[in-house]
Amino acid sequence: MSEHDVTRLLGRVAAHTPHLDVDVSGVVDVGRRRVRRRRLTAGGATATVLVAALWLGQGPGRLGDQEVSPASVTWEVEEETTVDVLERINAERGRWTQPAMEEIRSLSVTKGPQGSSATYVVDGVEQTVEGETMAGGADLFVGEGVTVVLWRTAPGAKRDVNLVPYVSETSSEMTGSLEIDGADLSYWITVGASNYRPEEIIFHNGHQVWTASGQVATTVQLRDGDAEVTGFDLPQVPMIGIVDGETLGGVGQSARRAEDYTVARVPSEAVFARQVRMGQTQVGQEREVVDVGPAVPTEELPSADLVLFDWEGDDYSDVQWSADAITWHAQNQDDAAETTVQPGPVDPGGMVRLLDETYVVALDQHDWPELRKEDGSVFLSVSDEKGVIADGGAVMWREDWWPWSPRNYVYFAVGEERLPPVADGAELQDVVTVSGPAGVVTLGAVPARDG
Amino acid sequence: MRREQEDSFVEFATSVKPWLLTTAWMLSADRHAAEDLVQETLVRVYLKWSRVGREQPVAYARRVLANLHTDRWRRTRREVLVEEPHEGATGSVDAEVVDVIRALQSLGPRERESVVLRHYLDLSEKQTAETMGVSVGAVKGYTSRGLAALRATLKEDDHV
Repeated sequence: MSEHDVTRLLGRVAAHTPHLDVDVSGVVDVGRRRVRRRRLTAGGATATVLVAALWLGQGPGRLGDQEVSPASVTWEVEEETTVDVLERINAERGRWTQPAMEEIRSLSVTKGPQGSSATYVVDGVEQTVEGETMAGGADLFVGEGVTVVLWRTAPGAKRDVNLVPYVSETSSEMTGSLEIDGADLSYWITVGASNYRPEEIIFHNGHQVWTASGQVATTVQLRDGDAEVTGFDLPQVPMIGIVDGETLGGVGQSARRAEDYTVARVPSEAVFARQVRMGQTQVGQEREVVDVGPAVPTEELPSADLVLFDWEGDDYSDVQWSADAITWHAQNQDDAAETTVQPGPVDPGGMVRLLDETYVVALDQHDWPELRKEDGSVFLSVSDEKGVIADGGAVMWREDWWPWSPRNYVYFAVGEERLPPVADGAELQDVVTVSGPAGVVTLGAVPARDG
Repeated sequence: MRREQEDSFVEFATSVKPWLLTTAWMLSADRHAAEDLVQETLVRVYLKWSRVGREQPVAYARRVLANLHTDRWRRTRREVLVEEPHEGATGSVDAEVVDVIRALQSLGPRERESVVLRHYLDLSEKQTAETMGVSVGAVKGYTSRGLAALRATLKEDDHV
């Protein structure tokens, strides 16, 4: 059975498709509702009102298509209690595994209805600090070189939490949980950072994300090939990141690489993104794109888009984005930085841009690719009723109506993937290869010059 | 969304609906799942219409449909292919069509996707790779295995 037979058989199957239908007006109604819901999650005051309703325990809410019930994380006590936290941690975890943590010789917390304090010994010096209340009612103790956060473990949350802002100095962190008088508490201890004062705790349950203050993240599913993660956005933190099962992490301006996937953050105007492999260059020269991966649709979040790439290889270290899959921009560049290599070969049905005009790739009567304008008229064809006209040539047109006005050129080479140098040494731009069953045609343009 | 943008989306959705539904049915072998897949696909295209509407909405719709199909079989980790081939208008069943449907159902999800995209929608290997979110090499492999399995199944039914 040939591939042609398969195509024929599938065509017959298509002709016998049962009666199926989708109500397009219903699609529009659903789309409008989702747009309104997204505006509620991304907006300012309105979102704050909804978050406050959740925080006050008025029942589970539904924001951004998620359903979580953020609740207070305050460790509440009826009478003053003093706990040797360090002893409890050592009992449950064993010896400290990070040398910096061994600087702490003791750590105890006193908690009562009127307030809290922490006493610890670091480098032989005892310090007592007053407790503060941070987001969600967590207890915060900020001392010289030590920061401790204690909170009642959030129901349903994974043990992996993030405190924001992140510590900017080199330091050691330890996080975990312990039980004190029947209360399930979680702790975070940072040693080595001076006056580190986190403002928010980020929780997740593997696919939903929320904060101690009650904000609920907008989430999207990211997938490519066999890779799949949940992307999230907390505009008011602000934080954009991913949840991959047990772990949560932020995605900054550089792509985040895991063992078998890469996640990148791209501007909101992006529709597609791709990984690219840059070539080796001499010192002082700009790197060029030597290969590109497949274009992957981006997923929209209120603050930016995220995109996930299944593993392409360590060489594909850069990311580009595009609004039309034709003009590509480097991930972190604000200006349109067109690459010299357009994705190719471009098959029939695809589009190419030459000198700021878009043409559709079609097939002529001999199955060679030809370029058509948006109105369907042929811009460039390499064959006529007798066959291929020539191995190469150019299409030219004047910039203006007078006979001596400068000319634009589009050069082409039939059956070749590169163009020969232009006679007067002009530099080719918009170089692209288009393909059809009969073969490939490579094109390049030279814009009209003054004079 | 402005009214004229919404009108252009309605025109687009109406024009692509037939082949989207056929593709979704070939992929899922379940008419209800096919309608759900296409409805969700079109809703997602609607949400991005201001961006994709001017450029490559057909390619975007194909990609969304393929992703949603992948979501569906990953969510269940198995496919319950219970759709029985329906009778034609005359009340008779086209034996060849029935056999091809059953042969498609016997393929793995990725192989079925690749064969349908390549040989029903007539996409190139590169377009198929972009739709499925995999490399061209992976498409070659999925297509090759899918066609081999189809040949083996249909040969048993003497369609070769």
